[in-house]
Amino acid sequence: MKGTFRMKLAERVAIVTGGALGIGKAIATACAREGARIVLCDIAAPALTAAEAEIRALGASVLCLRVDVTDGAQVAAMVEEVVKTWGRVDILVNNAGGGIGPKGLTETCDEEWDAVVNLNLKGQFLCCREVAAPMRCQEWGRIINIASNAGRYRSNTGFGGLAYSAAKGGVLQLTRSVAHELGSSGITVNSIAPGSVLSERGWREFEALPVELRERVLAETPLGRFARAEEIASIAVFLASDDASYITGATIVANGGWCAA
Amino acid sequence: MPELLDRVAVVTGAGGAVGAAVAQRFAGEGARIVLVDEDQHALGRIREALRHHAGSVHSLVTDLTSESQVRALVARTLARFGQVDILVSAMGMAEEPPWDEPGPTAWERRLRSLTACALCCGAVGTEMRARGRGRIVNIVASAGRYRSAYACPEGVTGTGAPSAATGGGMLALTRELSLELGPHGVTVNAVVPGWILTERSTREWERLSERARRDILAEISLGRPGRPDEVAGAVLFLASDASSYVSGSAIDVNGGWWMS
Repeated sequence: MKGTFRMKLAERVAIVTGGALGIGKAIATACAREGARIVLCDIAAPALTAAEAEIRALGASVLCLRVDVTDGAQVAAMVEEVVKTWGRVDILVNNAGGGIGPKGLTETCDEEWDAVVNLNLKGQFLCCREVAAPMRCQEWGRIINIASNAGRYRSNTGFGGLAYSAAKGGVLQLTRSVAHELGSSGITVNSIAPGSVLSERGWREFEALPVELRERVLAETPLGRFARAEEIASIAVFLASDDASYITGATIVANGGWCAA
Repeated sequence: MPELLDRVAVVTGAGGAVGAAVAQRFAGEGARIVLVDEDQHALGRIREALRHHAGSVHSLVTDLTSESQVRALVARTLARFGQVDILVSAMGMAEEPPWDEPGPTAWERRLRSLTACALCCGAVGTEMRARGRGRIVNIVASAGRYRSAYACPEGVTGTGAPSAATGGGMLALTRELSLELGPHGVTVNAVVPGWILTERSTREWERLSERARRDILAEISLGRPGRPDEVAGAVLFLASDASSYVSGSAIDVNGGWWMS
């Protein structure tokens, strides 16, 4: 049977932010396995080099860029570099993000709020803005924003904190607004709202939780387990593929049934 | 690699445009399929379309509102293929009532697809639960999640209500079953199509005024109606290994018409 089945993302150019580790690396790897050329972006240089080597070993073309997604000039330069190298940008996966631990309303200082909102929301806005022009030119594009269960319902473990939840809620609305604006140009924009994911960072966070909280969250999750990063990556591949051609402005909730909607 | 190699899928409403598109997509991905519909002629058409896969396709005319017939359907599926991995309930899409159908008839017809969905989920879910794996995908009319995709023509009122109530019921069923079956390795999700171009919807489209058509298209971000195969793509995702951590969810396939 092999060979009769076309790879789902053959020749597509896919930018994955925060691609050096965890969910981002899993998404970059899954896209590469489906034939995409990968633009791997991150601020963490050593991890970036290691991830690049792993993805190249799959036989994929990889362009590796050190980018701080909260800096508009760096994001613009990134997109310019991709277009210069491969002539197009087909897929953007806005994955870079992260929280500051379980800090609530009165524990969050101004600087923490700004840092978390910049990384999780402004970074996605900047990347969407900069890829809009090349995607419009192609009249084809797929933008996939990684949101969170925490932005749709609440954090199941409380780990992300207030600013993180608020920023991820913003990502869901950014998704809808950009989807509406770019829809007529053949560009779809969707988000994925994962529950707890056992990436490297996810494991550390999970192990830091009190045992009773861990047990309660697992008991509340019908599938009875947390996600592997690959289980989020396969959703991103679906949204980037032709199978999702009539889906835009949507959120795919992937939380093992923790909160059904 | 084909995504559903040797999986066994039961597709209800396989005679309708969406059900047929799902069956075709699944066949192309290597699944063995039991096609189910009440309409023998419609079933014959999809069987004919899948003649190149004849060895892996079985079809059954079944009244899905009859518990004994649904039990027989599961028994015959097991006898033929030995297992059930996937259940797709597309019957609701095949049963969309015409605008001019009288109210009580429309109610009865729509609620039958909710009953059918519940009976199939129950019978197939029991089997999946015993095996410790399975995928259930319910295709739900958008009226059940938001409102009807387009307004009725002048002089007709209230025909959206039966669809809305039925679709809402199917979504509630989906959520509840995801809780019950999740611990047994079975995921339960919904696909909610927007305005999909089929023979029937094209006829209804033609009854609308130019102005009404323009207004509808203006509301859809992608500026066009969808195709049955685009619904099938989302159903395939939920039936495949790619969605292993997705359960209790509803995926909107509506071109951005409504964003939840």
